Amino acid sequence: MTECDGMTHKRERTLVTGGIARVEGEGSLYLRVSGDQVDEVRLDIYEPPRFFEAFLRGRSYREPPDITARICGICPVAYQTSAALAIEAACGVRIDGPLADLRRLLYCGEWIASHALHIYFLHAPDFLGYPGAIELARDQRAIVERGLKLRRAGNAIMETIGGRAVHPVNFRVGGFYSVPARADLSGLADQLRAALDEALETVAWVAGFDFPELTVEHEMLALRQPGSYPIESGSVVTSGGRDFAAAEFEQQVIEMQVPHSTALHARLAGREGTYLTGPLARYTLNSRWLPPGAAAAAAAAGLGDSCRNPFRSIVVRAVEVVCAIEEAIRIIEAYRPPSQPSVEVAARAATGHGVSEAPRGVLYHRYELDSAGAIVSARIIPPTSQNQAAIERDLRQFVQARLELADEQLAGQCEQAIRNYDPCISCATHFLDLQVDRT
Amino acid sequence: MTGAGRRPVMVIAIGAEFRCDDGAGPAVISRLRGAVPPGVELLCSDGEPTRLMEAWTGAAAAIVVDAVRGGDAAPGTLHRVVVPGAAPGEAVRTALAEDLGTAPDEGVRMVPGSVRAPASSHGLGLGAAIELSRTLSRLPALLIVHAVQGEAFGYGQAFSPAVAAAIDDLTARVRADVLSLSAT
Repeated sequence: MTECDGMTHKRERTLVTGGIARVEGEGSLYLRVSGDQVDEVRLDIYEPPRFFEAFLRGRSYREPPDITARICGICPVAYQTSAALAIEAACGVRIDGPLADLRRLLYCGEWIASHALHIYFLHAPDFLGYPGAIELARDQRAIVERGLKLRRAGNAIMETIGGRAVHPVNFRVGGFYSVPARADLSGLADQLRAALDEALETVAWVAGFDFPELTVEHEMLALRQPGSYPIESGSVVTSGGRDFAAAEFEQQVIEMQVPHSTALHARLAGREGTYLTGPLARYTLNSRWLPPGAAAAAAAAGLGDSCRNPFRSIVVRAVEVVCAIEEAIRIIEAYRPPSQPSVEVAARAATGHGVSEAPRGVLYHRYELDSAGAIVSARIIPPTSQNQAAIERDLRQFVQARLELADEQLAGQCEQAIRNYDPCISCATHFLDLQVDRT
Repeated sequence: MTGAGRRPVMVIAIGAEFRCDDGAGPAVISRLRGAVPPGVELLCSDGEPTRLMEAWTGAAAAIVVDAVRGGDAAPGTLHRVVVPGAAPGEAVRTALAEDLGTAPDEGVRMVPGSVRAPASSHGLGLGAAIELSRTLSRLPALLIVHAVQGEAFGYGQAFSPAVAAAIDDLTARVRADVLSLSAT
């Protein structure tokens, strides 16, 4: 402990800011500041996926999409997709053609709904000086109604393809339980065409916000699907030049225990620094693959080829909403129903790996099956836990430049900074306390 | 309550069935199936506010069933809070808090959720859903919150003994409100 400027006695203040508790779970941000130096930043996130890994052992290989979807009410399709890809890989099956297109379409729905929620109801109020979405809605009702329309468009895709918007029930290993006829999608296409205008308006709206200066130097990690923006599949690439398949994920991404957290931190093998997954990484590594409308919107928003300011992630998310709507419309217009709603996936003793781009970043699943298809072991690495170390590093940089702020202001700005990463509370934490110790 | 052009009474359970007592709401929905008049909508929700708002938009009356923690009430205690559609937001928060035995400023623990801006996209909560709905004129004319005081919110599908013992009574109370609202 050191004395602060001009202070003749130790001063210690503790500030606890309650976040949100839906159910159980603990998460906290702890800052220790000595004088004018940030000594320690600890983001403690509790991780339900670890429980599900144990819960899955002994279950049938057909069950993970439905079971793991329950990890998160916001990104169930991500869990379903990564689970199915891993199991299908273990069984030597690769889904392609219309079934793969329908999976991408379903996933687009999740991106639209998740991003619209975050942009309008969580992130935008920070930039506009409102405590939350309720106050924003009181002053700017039409804006919030636009966000709700976008969210409805995403939910409509999930309801049409997945059977329902929360924890879709039509998804299965090998494809779907039933697939739509072309006529079933015509109303959806009309809704999406209207939503595209709202999505473009959203990009223009958020691009006009004031963004604090912050440039992060993390290695960026995202999927890549050459020719298209990565969503439901791809290989893993990084800004440092790595390019590997899902099967190599655990060789390339090393998880490690840290004393202050029940969650595992992650780093890239052979590299001491941090890495970041999520919208900034996806955009930075794949902006060239954006569809035309999204690419034009990104350019008009001044994003450039890459984006390394976490505060601008709201612009990237808005661009990704445009991308997802364009992709959804393209898939619907080209859609020809497959001959079967699913392909047969026969169990075998093997291990499979799957990755997809959840709205918050790369989500990895691994399943080891026995010859009867029972799950021997499972591994789930969600994006928020991968980003923990990067978030801590960014917060340290962020706080260091704002030490003159009173605790309450600092707490508020830290919460805003954390929202840049759209941490998945169901996947990672249910309760956020912020504690600042100044000595 | 079921005026012309309006959707009927609906019951919305909030909770996660793999989180012990948090699954109380979905359990009530299971028990109500086949035990309520035709036309009464029964659904389960993860409690995400915009989805809650979309769910009850246009409903004449909505009954929310949830598990809560915090306050001084013993596990298994049943709460019933009537949220009038026209009441100002602060009054609603106070009413909820008083009924659940906690101070209004303990909103985070009062109901599973809060009106504070959360750091995550999942935690806006029931309070925010009510406020947002009121602001956007989407609150049903009558909203009743039934809640059971939980004590176990870890992973699993088993209720704590107190909540397990209270489920039938909770179901009966919800059903009584459904029948009363459906008859008017």
